[in-house]
Amino acid sequence: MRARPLLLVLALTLSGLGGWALLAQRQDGFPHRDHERLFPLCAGCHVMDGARSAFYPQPQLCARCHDGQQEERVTWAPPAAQPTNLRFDHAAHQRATAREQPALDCTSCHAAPGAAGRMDVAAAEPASCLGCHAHQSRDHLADADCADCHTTLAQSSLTSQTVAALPRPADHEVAEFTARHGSETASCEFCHVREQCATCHVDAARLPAIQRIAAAPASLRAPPLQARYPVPASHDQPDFASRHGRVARSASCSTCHTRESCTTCHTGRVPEEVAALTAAAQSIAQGVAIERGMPITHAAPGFVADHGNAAATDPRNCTSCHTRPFCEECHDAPDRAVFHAPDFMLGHSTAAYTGRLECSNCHDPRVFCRDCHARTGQTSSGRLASFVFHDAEPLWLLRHGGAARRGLESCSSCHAQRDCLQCHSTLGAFKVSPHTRDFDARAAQRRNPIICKACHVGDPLGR
Amino acid sequence: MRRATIGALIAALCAAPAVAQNFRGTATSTGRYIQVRPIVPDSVPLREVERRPDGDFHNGIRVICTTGFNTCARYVAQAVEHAYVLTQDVSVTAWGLGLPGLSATLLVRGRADTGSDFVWPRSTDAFDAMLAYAELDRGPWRVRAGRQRSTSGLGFAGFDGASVLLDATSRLQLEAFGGRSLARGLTEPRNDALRGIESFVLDRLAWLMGGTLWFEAYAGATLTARYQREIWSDRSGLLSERASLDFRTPLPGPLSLSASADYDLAFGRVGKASVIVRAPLTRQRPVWLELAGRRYVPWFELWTIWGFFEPAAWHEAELRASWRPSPALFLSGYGGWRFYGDTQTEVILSELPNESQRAGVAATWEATERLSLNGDYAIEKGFGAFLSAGNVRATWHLLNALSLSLDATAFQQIEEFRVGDGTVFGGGGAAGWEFGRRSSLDFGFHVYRQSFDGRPGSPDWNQVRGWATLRIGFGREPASAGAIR
Repeated sequence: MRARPLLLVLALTLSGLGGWALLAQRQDGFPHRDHERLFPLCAGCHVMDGARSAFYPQPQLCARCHDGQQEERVTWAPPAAQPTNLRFDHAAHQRATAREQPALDCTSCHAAPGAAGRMDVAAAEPASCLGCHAHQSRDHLADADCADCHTTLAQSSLTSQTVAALPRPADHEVAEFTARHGSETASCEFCHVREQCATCHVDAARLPAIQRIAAAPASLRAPPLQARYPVPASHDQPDFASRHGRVARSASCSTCHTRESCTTCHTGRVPEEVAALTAAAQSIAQGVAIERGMPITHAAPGFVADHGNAAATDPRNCTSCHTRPFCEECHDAPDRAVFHAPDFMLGHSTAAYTGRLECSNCHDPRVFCRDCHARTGQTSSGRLASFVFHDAEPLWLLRHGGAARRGLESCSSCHAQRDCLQCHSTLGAFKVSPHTRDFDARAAQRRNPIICKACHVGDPLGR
Repeated sequence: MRRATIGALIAALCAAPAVAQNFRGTATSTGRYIQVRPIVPDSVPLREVERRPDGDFHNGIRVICTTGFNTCARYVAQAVEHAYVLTQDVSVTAWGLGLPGLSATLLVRGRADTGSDFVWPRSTDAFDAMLAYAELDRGPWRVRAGRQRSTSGLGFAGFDGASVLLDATSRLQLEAFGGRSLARGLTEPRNDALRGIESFVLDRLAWLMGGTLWFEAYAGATLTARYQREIWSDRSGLLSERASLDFRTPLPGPLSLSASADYDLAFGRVGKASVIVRAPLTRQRPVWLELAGRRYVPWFELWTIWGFFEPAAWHEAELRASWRPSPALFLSGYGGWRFYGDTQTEVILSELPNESQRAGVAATWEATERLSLNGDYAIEKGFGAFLSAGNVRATWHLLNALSLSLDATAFQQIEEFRVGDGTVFGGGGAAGWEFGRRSSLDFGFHVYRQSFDGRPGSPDWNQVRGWATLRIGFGREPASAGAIR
């Protein structure tokens, strides 16, 4: 695995050097050696401390001699500027090296290999630079201090084509690069402009690290990168959908997700964290597309039976997907075959006796249940007769207390209160107290004195 | 209420330029056909009764004989009676009513009993306004006025009045509500709804008031506290005073916990309560495990005597699991063990069993893209009744919008306090057609053959159920495209 980056560096270096050499061949068609005696100083033609246009002599200077009389006419023009992102300022370099011994002059870098004279010059080779500026980095493209030799991409004269052809650093190929690349952004601007960050980062306009990177000049149309949104490991957790609110409060979501990512599912008034996200319309990046899906919590085996807790603790969660009538269709649909299976009526005793479905949440037992039971002959009124419906229990009348305390809702679905008061009342035949020994009569009377009078004549507490 | 509801909706719709208005609704028409078999008391001569150690029988049917009488009593089955019930629900939510954040919600229900010889409960109650409120959602405030239902750990509380909700912060919500109380399960004012059903119910209105607090301690950990109180309109006494706490939180790893409890301040006792720990173990092939502890004791308002009879609570431990071993197969199962509290009653002859159990398994197999098979079995050895039931169903999705299903059921039910082993075999079919974005037509029928061992019989205990539901969605989607309904 080590061979690949080394080979890559080698290839890139060779290609870079080759390009430099090509540049050197192309840049200067002037026969310096032939003019060695004429120009004692390089500075006679080359003005180093100024704009590039001043670096080369004007063609008129040639015409002073090459006027067709003294010398034949020639056609010479300064070489065209080549796209480059190299940073080199002759004057600054000269100043910086002025005190070095031996002193550097032009030939220190520009002497042609095996130069035969002062004017036997050529374009500087990288080796000339590296002779003094030993490259400190192992990977030229990744961990160097680019600013030593290069301008930022925005400052460079590179074209879209040359930018697209820029070599790709080896560390960009590492799988985790996308997730990690935000930690070291110092060198990004030498190959990238701000617009490229915004290809993926929906919050590019808000991130200081991205804003520090210069925007592309009008002359440069940086090739767009391919938006990639690798799925973080946290998103693969089984219950991520139900827990993502915790991480949503950190800034990490805003890289890939626009506000619309949240409002796809979360409707109504959104939390501050969601409102703070970049809106899709304000983002160049498309962001991660979210599809509304059933939360994994709904797949829990007991969700249907136990969803009341979720509805009570966070009703906003429910209303993200469900409108109010959706609840009513089950919870108040006694006339519709929605909640109960078609055969429910035939076998509903078990559910009713145990309170498993808490019938009275939707049905009034006195109105709904007793009405039906009365019409089908399953109720009795008045004092319990010897002829009883509960014929499986001998001496039912004497034993019904325990069953009643366990299934009072069931009792009330057949029996009216007045039937029970035939015995369980001070006015009744047997004056059987329905209260347990734990009954707090004073508290009950304090809460609702009226109901005491249903069974008691006067004040049962004698006050 | 009916006129006020319709008037308010029309006024709201006319309040702003039509171009800004929108509405969204559903009209659901349901027709049901139900056969039932009433039973009536009858007598048989004592001389025809067979006296056995396990009771007295006449032609295999349990009879009740009383010393000193020369006849014994029994129940006999009557002829089949038929109920034809029609229900029409219309729900509409309208917005764009000239004021940002203003909307109106209406859910009305009409019922009709079309010449049944068996009158289905409440089918003669021709009209109910279930919901009829205007809502102003403005910034952190939400105000609702009209007929509304508040949902909480205390169940549903219907009232005609107002509620004010404040989104104090993204982690704190407060709500206060109050108004005329509606009878539980009836959606009507108490003086109307309860008139005549008991001999000593006050013919008065009642007021409901209360408040709710939602608090998110940290992400995913939410707590809701609720208090509500109902009093008679003349302030002569309480109808109810209750409070509830609901809590849920993520736990380390994939675990999460939810807990709920309510407390009846009027009787000074804990009502329902539950603690559930659940965990999805994998994402791609989810395995869910749930362990639940529950308590249940029915709650009664103070206008009834039932709460003073002091119901006994049961406590239950339940384990649930589900597994999707392949995308086409889903399996689930549960088992629960229930314990009943002391009833503080005299033990005569023998005690009632203090424990009961229930268990069940279910499977769904998507055999092909168009065919799915479901099966389930449940057994419940509960208080009051024993139930053993199995169902199978095959569903064909003939087209994306059209499905047909056939199903069969069999169950046995044994009543604990009544002689008889009821066995039911049944089958039927259903069809569903979805058209448009939110419209559908569903209909089906089922035939059940019910037989009893030791119960009053009839040559034919077959019962038929039929139903059809036409659901039409109309209006447009609000901004939140993709709402389930």
